Amino acid sequence: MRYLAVAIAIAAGLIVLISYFVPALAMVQFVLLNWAIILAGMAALVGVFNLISVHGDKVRRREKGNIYSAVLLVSLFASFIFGLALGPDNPNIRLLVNTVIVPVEAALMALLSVTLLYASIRLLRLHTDVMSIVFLLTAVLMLAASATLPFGEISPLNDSMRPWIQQVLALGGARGILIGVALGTLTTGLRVLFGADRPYGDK
Amino acid sequence: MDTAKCPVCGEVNPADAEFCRNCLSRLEPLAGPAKGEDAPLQPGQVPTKKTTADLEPILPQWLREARETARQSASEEATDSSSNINNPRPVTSSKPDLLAGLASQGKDEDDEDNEAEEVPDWLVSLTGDVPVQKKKADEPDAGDGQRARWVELGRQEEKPSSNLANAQASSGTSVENATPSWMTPQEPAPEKDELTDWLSRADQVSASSSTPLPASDQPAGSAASALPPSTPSPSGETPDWLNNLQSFRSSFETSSPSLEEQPALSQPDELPASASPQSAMAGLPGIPDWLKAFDQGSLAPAINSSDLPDWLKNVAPQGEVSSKGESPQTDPPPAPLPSETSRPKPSVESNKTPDWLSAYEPANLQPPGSMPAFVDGALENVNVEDLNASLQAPDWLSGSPSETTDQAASEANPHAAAQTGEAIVPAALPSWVQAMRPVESALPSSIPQSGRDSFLEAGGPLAGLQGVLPVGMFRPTSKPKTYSMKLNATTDHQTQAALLEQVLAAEITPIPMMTSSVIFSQRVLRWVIAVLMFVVVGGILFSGTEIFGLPARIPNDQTEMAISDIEKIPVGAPVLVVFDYEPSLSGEMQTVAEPYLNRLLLLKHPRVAILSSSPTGSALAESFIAGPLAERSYNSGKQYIDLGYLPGGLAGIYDFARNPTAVMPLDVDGSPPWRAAPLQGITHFSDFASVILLTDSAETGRVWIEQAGPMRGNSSLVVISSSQAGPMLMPYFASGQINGLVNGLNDASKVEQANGQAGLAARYWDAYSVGLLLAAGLILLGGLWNIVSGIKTLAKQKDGS
Repeated sequence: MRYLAVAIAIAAGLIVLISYFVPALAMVQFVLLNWAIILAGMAALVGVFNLISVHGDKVRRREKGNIYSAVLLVSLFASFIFGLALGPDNPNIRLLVNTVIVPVEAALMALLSVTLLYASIRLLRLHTDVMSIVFLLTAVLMLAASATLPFGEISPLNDSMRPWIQQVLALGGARGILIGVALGTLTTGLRVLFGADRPYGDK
Repeated sequence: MDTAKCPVCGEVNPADAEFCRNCLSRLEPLAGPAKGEDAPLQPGQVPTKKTTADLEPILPQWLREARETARQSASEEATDSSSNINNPRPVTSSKPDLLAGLASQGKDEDDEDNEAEEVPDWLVSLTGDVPVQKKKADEPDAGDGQRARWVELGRQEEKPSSNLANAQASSGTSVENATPSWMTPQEPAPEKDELTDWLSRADQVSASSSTPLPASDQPAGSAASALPPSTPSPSGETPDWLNNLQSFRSSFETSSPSLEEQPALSQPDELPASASPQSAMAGLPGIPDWLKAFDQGSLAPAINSSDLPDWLKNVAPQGEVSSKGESPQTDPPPAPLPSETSRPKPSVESNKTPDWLSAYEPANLQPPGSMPAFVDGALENVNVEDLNASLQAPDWLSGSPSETTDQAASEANPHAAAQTGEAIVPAALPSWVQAMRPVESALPSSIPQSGRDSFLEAGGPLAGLQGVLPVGMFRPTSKPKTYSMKLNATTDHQTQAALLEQVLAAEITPIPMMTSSVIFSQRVLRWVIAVLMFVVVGGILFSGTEIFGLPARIPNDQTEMAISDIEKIPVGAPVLVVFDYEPSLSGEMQTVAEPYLNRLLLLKHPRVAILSSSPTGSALAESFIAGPLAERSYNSGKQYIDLGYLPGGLAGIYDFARNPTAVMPLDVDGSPPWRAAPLQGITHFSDFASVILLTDSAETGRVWIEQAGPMRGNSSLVVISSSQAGPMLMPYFASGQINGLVNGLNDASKVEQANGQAGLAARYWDAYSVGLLLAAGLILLGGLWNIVSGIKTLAKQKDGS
């Protein structure tokens, strides 16, 4: 059974890869990709069921914080039932999204801004070295260069410093990151095709 | 009737039987001494007789057969004694010891053993031991039995021809009662093997008695008779006639020749008749008749060879036998002694002493006490070395009788042992050794005599030894020994255990961490930062001020390219808008996308298809259309179609780009979207006039650009991103993979400026700018403060050190 799974995974990967170069295999590639989309959708549904199971056990065992699990389960079933019945373009569903989901997640992002600011202040307290100072100076420059003064821009920062940092330093770093990501993805794909990595359940 | 079953063969035997009558095995106990043998001998007690005939059944079969063969050969030897005299076999004392006691199975065996174990008094005195009480002379047949024992042992050949030995051998005659004690044949059994060497040599000398030997070549036994007077003599045992003889010592000394002139002491035949002390004994009272006869020189050889038994002929002096004119010996007779003809011939008619034995009578002896220790001028011409050699005592005389064993004799005189060939076979003990089982007096008193350890071995090489092997070693036990499970721990053990427990407990005890007021200051700092941000940013935001200037537009940048791309979209053309951002960043994304989409909807009135690779994207899209774009009055199903959630991530995006109608056959309402008005004529991904991607993640933007970019054809691709994803998407804009990029609130303000209408970007710009400057200021001030405090700490540490 283990070898069968490996064989299926490698065969599917090779077919999809070869179909980029062989148009005759496009139809097979399409079928396999459709299967992947369906399985991904089912995976989301399985994730929902897993969430219900985990928090349901917490409520049944009356573990610590089970009240939050109960609220989560109630909200989940309510959203599912209303969304399935009314549809996403229903004003009540939009109200639910705009008044619950968006403010909650936005509040968490706001807390992140305060936390990041505090960490930046404490950085030199913990690591007083050159790189920390450079990191903080860069952050200060970009923050100052992204803003404007009340009656106009800060000419050296907004006119020359900020574009240079964005187009040179940030762009170069981002390109390096993207190239690294591409190489990593390629390597991962080859390892999966060769059976070295088996993310489908076997080591 | 009680019976005993043999444990070996199962034969039923009488209860009082000790050995099985069938297999002759020991009935019970299987090991240990025989009945009545385990009682130890007490000091002074005469050892009990050893009836070897009774022990014979327990001997192994091969030994019994050997003993039987020995009996037969002994009888044959007795028959052929006369022929043996004429053709004497080489004198050998190497008869196997195991056969040595075969002849002792006569009916007088008991007495013989007792007598054989006795050591002569004079011999015991020589070794310094206390003489053992001799058996009374009036006991019936004691001397006969001892003589028979002597003969049965086959040691007659080994009898020394010296005066002393011959005197002992002659003690078994009928005149024993009158024989002094030193002549009593108290031949200790243990010494008989040690005597093998010199006795055999003496026997040879006696056979050739006429040949004078030098003093150095004389056997040690002869020298024993010439021991110095310093040797303790058994004066107490000296007979009267011998004591009386002391009074004639002076006259004897004067009449006796010097040592130079005297022949060897071991050659009594060479003594001149005039020098014989027995001539003076004749007139002494208390001298036995046969001794008087010696003195009178009437010891004529009255006994012919026919009177002697055959076995005795073998051991009789050949000179005597030959004098009877019997068959000559095979070996040439030795030269006759000069004094042979003049030697006194004691008549033994009265005392029945054989002629050959008369040669060994005390008359021919030089008694130890009869020779003065020192004679003036007697040792003047004596070679001291020869004298020392002649005075060398035999090994058995130099050692304790209890220590004289065959092995010791062989070690002391290996030449003799090798000459006689008398080597004891290992584990084949002679009978006399078996008979000499250790008595209690010979054993060390320190040996425990408990009932468990006093077990006396009855057979084998360990026979006679006591307490060698434990009795109960091989005894089967039915019940195992129980041991107490209680731990006997002393105070020291408990102390050490407690110390070990403390050490182990210290290993797992957590070390308390240093607590300080830093955590309190950190909380305060966080609260200060949060309050400051809320107050400053919130105050400016809710005040609605527009003090801060908007960023200036930069020609041909990513924002200007995105704005110009709108111009390229045909009016009413289908446009795909992808909502791939999270609700947490919906505030920023709506602010950034709102001016660009308003401009697009306002200018081009496109048919919009909404798609999302995030589960919440569809709801956010509906909220965006119903919120910031509400002024454009776009309705679902008429101006736009919400295709819903596109699962599969990268594969779904790629598959949708390759065949959108097949991948998304239904919209969020469940109706086929591709036949609706907004999406009419759309069969491929490239049929969309423009693809506008709203994303807050660089990863999502990368997937859309890489997977769907090749299939978009001539359609444009514009990315509207948050400020955090913009830098990562700039390379795609620089490479031309995307046509324009609206990044963050800064670019959104430029789009608003292009639209000529202030929007959310302009409203939030003052608070946004103040917030950025406040954050930069806090970071800068906090960094400086931390640097200064760090320097102070280092200074304190230096001062402290």
